[in-house]
Amino acid sequence: VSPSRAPSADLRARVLAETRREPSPTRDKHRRKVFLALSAAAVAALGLFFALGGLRPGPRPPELVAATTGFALLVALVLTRLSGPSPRSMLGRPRAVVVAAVAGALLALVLVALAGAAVWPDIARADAVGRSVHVACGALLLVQGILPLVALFVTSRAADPRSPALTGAALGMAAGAWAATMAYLRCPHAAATHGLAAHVAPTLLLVALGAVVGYRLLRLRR
Amino acid sequence: MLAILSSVGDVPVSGVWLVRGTTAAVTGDGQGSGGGIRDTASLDAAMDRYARGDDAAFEEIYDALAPRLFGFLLRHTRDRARAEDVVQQTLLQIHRARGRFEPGARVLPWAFAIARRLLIDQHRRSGREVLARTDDDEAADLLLALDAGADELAIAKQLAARLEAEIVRLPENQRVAFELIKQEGLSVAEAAEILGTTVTAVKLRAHRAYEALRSVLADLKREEA
Repeated sequence: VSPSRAPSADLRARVLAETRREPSPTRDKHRRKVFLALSAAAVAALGLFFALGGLRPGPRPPELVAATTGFALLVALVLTRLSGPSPRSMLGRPRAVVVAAVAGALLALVLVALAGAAVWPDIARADAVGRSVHVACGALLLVQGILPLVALFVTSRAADPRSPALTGAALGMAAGAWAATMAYLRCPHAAATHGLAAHVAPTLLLVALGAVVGYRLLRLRR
Repeated sequence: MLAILSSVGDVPVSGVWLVRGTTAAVTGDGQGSGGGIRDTASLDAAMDRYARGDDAAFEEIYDALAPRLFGFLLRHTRDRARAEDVVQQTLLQIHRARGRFEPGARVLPWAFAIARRLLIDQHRRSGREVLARTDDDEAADLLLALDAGADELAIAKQLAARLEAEIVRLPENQRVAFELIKQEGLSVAEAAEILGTTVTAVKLRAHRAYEALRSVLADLKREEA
């Protein structure tokens, strides 16, 4: 590097002095913080789940409960994997992959809601669900999704130099899919309209919320 | 003409240095002009030690990254103070995020992505163009530094201006892909990581930029002939 293309020696001294003045957490400390934040969020979400009745199959056969919960769990696992760090990279996966994952996950949750009602039409048809039930179930899903989302945002602040809104949306989708998994365990209703209104729509809201908050919290700050 | 350009070497003048880097890339004999580290594995290892708590490793990280980031940023800002400011911010971001550094991750694409983001933010705040014009004073320094004839230097300056104009005209995604691969010497995979896209997309963008610049060189050769 020629002298004119090298930064000044003064810069080196300034940067090193700044790092000494403002120590940063090591990996072990950071991992402890992430573990504590996510554990607290998981305990709160599960506490809410059990406090409000835990597993409630209602008129749903065990196969329906297992299928809807299993699919939602699969979506949650895939999204959690894709929205987190990728191997050998600090920057996550390509934008196209994340966009496809979020869109695919939403579509999968829609299909879960519709397929359950299609395979067990008698149970779904007999299940007359009022609007207030949609709202209460959807609100609970939102709360259960927001808890891990907040923990993820707190531990990833100012960490995304590339696409903070998209990362936030993916985290929102992952949190929503986990909350939807719990919803299929606790919610006794099998109607497709309920699945779409109370399980998929709040997840979509979490994606939008994740994108907006992610843009503000995850982007780099000087 | 190319002989003149290859004789320019690591001359620090942004305009002609750009031509030198670009020409080497367009003629296929260059893997970038950024000096600095070639051994990215040792940089990654130093970062890993720093993440584990070895504070002394940050000096190695600084020495490996700062010149390379500075070269990249200076080409975009043409302003040493602004380039140094972004280098400082980039290294402090890396310092603050050391706990998040995953074992086995690569530092270079991460650092370039941070620098690029901070640069874009800085440009947005100041409302300046991403690529400023070549500084004439620096060009004059180059002329003094080179022991070449006036005609050859005039041709070199003309070529520099044409190529620079062509680079500025390139679509942003093609320009950045070209710069990262051909001028900074990053791999296609690293450039893809920085830009958040696929390897195939980066290859395509860089190829299109390369073809556009090669056609400019071909035009100039014809004019010269």
